[in-house]
Amino acid sequence: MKHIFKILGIFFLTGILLYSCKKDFPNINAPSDDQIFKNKDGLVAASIGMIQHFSTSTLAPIVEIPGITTREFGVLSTYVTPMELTYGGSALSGENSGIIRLWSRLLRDKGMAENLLANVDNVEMPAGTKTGIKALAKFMKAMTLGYLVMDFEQAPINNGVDAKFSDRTTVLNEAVKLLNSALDDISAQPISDDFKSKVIPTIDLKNSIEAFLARYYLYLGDYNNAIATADKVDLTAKSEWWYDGSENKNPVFSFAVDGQPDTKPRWNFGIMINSGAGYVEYQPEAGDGRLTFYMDTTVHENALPEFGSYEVHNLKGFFANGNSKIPVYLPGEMLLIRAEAYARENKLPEAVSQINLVREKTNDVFGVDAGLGAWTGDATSKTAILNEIYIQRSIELFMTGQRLEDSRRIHSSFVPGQNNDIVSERNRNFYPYSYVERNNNPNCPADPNI
Amino acid sequence: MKKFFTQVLSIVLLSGLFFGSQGIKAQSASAVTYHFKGTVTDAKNYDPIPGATIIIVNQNLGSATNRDGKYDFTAKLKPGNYQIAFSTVGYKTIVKKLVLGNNTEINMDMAISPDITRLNEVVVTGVSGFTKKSHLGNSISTVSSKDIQAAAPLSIDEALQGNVAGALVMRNSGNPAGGISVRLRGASTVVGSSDPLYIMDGVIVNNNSTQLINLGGYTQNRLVDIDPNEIDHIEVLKGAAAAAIYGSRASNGVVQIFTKRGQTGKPKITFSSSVNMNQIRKILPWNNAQLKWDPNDPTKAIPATRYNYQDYIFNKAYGTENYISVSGGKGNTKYIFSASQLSNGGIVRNTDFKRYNFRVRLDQIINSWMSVSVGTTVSRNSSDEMPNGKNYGPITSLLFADNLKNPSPVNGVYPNIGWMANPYEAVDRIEAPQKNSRTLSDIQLKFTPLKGFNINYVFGYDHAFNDARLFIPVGLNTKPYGISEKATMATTMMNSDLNAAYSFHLTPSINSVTGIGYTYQYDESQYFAIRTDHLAPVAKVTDAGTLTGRSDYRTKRSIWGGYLQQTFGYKEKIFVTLAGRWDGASTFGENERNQFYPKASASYLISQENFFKNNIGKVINLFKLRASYGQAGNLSALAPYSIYTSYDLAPINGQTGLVAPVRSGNPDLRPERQTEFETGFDMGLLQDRLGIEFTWYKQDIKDLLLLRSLAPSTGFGSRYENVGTMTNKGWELAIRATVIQKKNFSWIVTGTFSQNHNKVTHVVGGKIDLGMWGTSIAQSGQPLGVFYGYFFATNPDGSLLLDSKGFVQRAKGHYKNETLPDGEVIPVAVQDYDPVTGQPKGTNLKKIIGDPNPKWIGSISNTFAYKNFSLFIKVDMVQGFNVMSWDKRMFDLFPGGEATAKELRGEIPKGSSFPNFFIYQSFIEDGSFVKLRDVALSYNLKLKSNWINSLKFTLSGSNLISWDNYWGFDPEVNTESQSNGVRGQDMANVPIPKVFRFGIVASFN
Repeated sequence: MKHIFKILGIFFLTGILLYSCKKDFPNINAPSDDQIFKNKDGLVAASIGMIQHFSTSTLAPIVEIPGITTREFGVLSTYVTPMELTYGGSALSGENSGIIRLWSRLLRDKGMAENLLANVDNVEMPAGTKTGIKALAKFMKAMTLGYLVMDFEQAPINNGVDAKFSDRTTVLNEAVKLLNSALDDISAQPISDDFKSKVIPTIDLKNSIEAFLARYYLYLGDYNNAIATADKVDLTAKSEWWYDGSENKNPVFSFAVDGQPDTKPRWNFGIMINSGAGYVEYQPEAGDGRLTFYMDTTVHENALPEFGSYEVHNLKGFFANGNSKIPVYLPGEMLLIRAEAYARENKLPEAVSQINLVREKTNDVFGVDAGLGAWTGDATSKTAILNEIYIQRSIELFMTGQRLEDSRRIHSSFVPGQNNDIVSERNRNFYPYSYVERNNNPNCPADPNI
Repeated sequence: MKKFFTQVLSIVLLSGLFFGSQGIKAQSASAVTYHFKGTVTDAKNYDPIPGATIIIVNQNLGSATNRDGKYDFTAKLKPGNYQIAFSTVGYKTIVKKLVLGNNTEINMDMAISPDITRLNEVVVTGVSGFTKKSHLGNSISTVSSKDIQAAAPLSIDEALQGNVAGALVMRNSGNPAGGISVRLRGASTVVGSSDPLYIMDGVIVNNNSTQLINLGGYTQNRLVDIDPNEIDHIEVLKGAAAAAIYGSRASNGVVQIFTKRGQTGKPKITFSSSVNMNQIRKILPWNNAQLKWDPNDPTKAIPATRYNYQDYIFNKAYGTENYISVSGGKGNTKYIFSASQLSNGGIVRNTDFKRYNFRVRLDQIINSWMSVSVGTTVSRNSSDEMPNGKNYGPITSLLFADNLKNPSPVNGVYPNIGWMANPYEAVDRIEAPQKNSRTLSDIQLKFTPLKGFNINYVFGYDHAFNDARLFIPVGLNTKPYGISEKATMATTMMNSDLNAAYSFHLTPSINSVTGIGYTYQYDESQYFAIRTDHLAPVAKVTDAGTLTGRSDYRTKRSIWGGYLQQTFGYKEKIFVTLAGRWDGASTFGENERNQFYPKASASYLISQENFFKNNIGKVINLFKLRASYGQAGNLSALAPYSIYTSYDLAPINGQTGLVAPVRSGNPDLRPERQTEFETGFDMGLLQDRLGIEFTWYKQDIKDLLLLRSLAPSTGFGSRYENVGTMTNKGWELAIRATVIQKKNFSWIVTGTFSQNHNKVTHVVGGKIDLGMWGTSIAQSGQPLGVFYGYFFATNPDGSLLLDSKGFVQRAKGHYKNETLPDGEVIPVAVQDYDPVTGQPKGTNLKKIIGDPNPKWIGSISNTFAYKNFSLFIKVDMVQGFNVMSWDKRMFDLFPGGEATAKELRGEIPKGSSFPNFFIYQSFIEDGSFVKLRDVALSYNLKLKSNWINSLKFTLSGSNLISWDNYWGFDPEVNTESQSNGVRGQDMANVPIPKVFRFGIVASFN
């Protein structure tokens, strides 16, 4: 009997030790998707997250990648990513990590917007909050679609497994549709002050939607709507992406200013002019206030010899510090949209007067003031006017990620070659698709020839 | 599962009680107290053997010798015929007949001889209780303290290097605290670690390689905390067939470490001390042309001064090691305590590693049926590391810089040498220290309530606290505002194991051993990090800067499982084992987490048969055939919470947002499962002068977890999926031979050889990227981690197709879809040529260009002993594998490399090395090496003094010579540290140093 007690005692003791077994541990680090999209707080937090990711992360390749292709940046290091972009042509493949970043970050943001749109109607919440979430998500989706087709020939309108691609006209039309629908939402039910102050305290959403709408109408060649919409935008309103300079740093500051950056802005905004006998560097007009606005002209440096030794300066403007705010759009763009739309419609005097509004501007709400005199070029030549618009866009909209689109649209007759090209105004028309997309989506279209 | 298991447990328990109580009655009827004593000595030199075990077979009675080799114990036994066994690690077990009658004083002296062949060792890993190796159906490797001490390794995994057939042990970095990868029979997982499960004195050991601070891929491995001086011996199980009893975590094999224990007798003091010197073995071929291109005529070279940056980055580094242990015991109590100190310098200037270890173990016999053993190891160590990578890695800078610039400080100011860090400034001014505290404790209870019935309970506790910092002072050229980062990781692991075994004779010739056990393992981790920049001067803490990032991540996980194992033995000849194991882990989905793993094995000792003994028994004294089949899982491959799509937290503007993660969750994840079959033989020839162990194995891994890339248009970047299968096939051979055995001279040779063919038999989509920018891939039908990239343009006849300048160029063409053996379709490169010029045309092509998996590995150790001298020589061989040398790529393009020197000297045309930069095939190198791993000359001075027993002097060298054709520092590297899929990549790695050492070991009375 003694032995039996012994054994039972041993098993009892060890049994206690063993059966304190716990087998399920919830993740206290972060909520998962099935917890987020079921209530208002989750949807609002996802809206904030979408803005945070776009403004601190996605905006970097939006500015950097086409910026190198169109010479806004001179390259100071031989890291492969900026090197391949500086050479362009066939040196650039879908394996360039800059292109991969640009592609995947935009699609990640687009996916977040789509998740919000798919779930917002299933959750009870105040009407003004619902409008805010819907309008913001539509705006963000339209914006990511727009940035995609500014750099890639085609893009998927909806994220998903084996997503189908659409051509850029279809994509831009979808963006226009989304923006108009967002405006309808806002006019049906205004965005609540609570949503505004919590999610978009630094963004005037209605003005931003209209500004992007005007931009996409111009890209689509819908000039009447472009002018009409640009007219609606309040040029005194400010919409900015917000940074605290510590955990959320200005992303352009991070790659082009902080420490020893790979790239710095070209002193003349990197504008290359086709002289007829090859490309030459554009010389900024004396006294153009935008030069000192965007650059510290006191310090000179040069890009690496293999990348042309172009003179580069330290970047200022909206990127001087880690906490510098970046405008969502610039009011000057509205004037230039009108100028180009008029010019395309052959209303040349109206076009010139809009150009002059930009050139003579001294009261820009962000301080982007050229302070120059009226344009003295050939006001009867549509080509000359469009060239001037290209130059003004290149300066006024410096580092907004638009120059590849502008160069392709305004100087469409120029075709970049397959060889390394460090001289002409752009060395690609569109980028090849990220190899990650190509390897995992059978619907990924063929890469553009150039 | 649990319910069923509880039922099985109670049935066995009850039956145990039944059988057991019968035995007790029978025994207590007429038991007599016998007194056993004697001395156990080494048959070769008659030295007493301390710690040898004396066991009355099948009675669970016995004792161990004290430090003078003497044993003395009493036991209550019924008069009759018994067997008494004498054994200890590294010696042959001797079993003698014992007839107990009226004489109760049994005096028995025994001389036992060293077991060079290791065929008769007693092992405990993967079996129920102590089992002779010759009874097992699977191969098991043992490493004795002698094997380990011969080379004086600084970490446990180094102790395995070359000592275990089928183990590929590779150091990932030459840093003094750098990690080592151990792979037993090839890779068995991709996303998880392929390192085996380490168990030390019953404690499941934390073997993590967490990157606390971004040092450019370099990590420490937590095994570095443990001092190999503490090891008594190691048992290694290599695959699922053997390791099924460890089920859930054993698919990579099991390494069980046993630390030294005390022996009864007067206190014995052992002291050892050594000094060592580390030195870089080979430097990169740098640009020593002392020329540069004339800026006015870029085709002309003009004189210039070029600097050898490696002269400064690398230096000679010194180290010391001291170890002291005190052991002894009296009556039922035995103890050992030890302390050690290690201080070792790194060959990269200003790097080092310091370790302090304390250990104590107490063994207490409480009464005739109960004993307890308690042990604790405390380790405290610190290291100074040097980061790798952009902006502040000195070796990275070395690769990119033009060595025309003198990086030496001028008036204390380091010059700016461009966009890469000044390497001198980096090694002198950047601080990346790490501090680690470790406590490993165990409580082991042993009960023998009945004859033949053992119960073991082990509670293991392993706590590690790691603290890593990065400090870049204000004013560093590439990080002018300074950086201060601090990260800590607290990891606690606990395991609670209950095992019981009951052995009895079913019939006089059939023996049965039943084993049963249950384990519950729990671990938790807390990672905490703060990153700041824009520092105030002087202060180094993170408070001195503005916040740029922070992280607080906590995990909890549990793993549980139980097994039932039954062995039948027939006349010490035939042994058959069947076992089943049930396991679960909290990291997997509710429906997939519980798994069953079976095991079966058999062995046949033919040499026990009379027909064998009478015929070739004179030559072959032992011959055993064995076969084993088993399954094991990998429940620890996945990090906790991988089944969820957890959103990233994004604080901004006074609010906290949620950002969709790059990695999507997958609720249907299952543990990977390995099925292994192994068979082989053990053979002892010429009375064990020559021992041969041979094993052939085949492993099939299914439900292989892979981090599958998702098209960005899904909104995600990746997702874990059970989308692969993989096989390992191979053989391993261990030979141990006493070539010469004379009175004053002996020569012992040990060799291990193995070959493993790894093949990824299926991955979804045919091909998956594993890392290093898609250059390491898994492709159906190929070995894991083959290199993929741009290759040389060739003519249809295979010769190089040169461009108009006569330079090599990248292949171009198109991709054609090809169906792989598993039915997946992948694009395969086809070269196209311009019909007019014959030059490549089309898109740049990629293909498989190399394989990092060695064709075979081997190791040969020679031990020569002449009188008091002994010489140990070990040569390691790893043959037939490729290394992707990114260092070569950089040195082909950037002017600090030898390629530019050759162009400047006019030995090769200017610009001819530039195209290599884009042709990945050009920097695929043959990594095959034969290394003189260790040479050690010792002199053992036996002293007749009253207070000092012996003195041993050793002069040794490690990694002195490598016979290889590798371009870079050393082919034995891996940039992605402990990573599994990414192997054989060399980029700005710290090479393994050559080491010279002088040591003394003294043992005192």
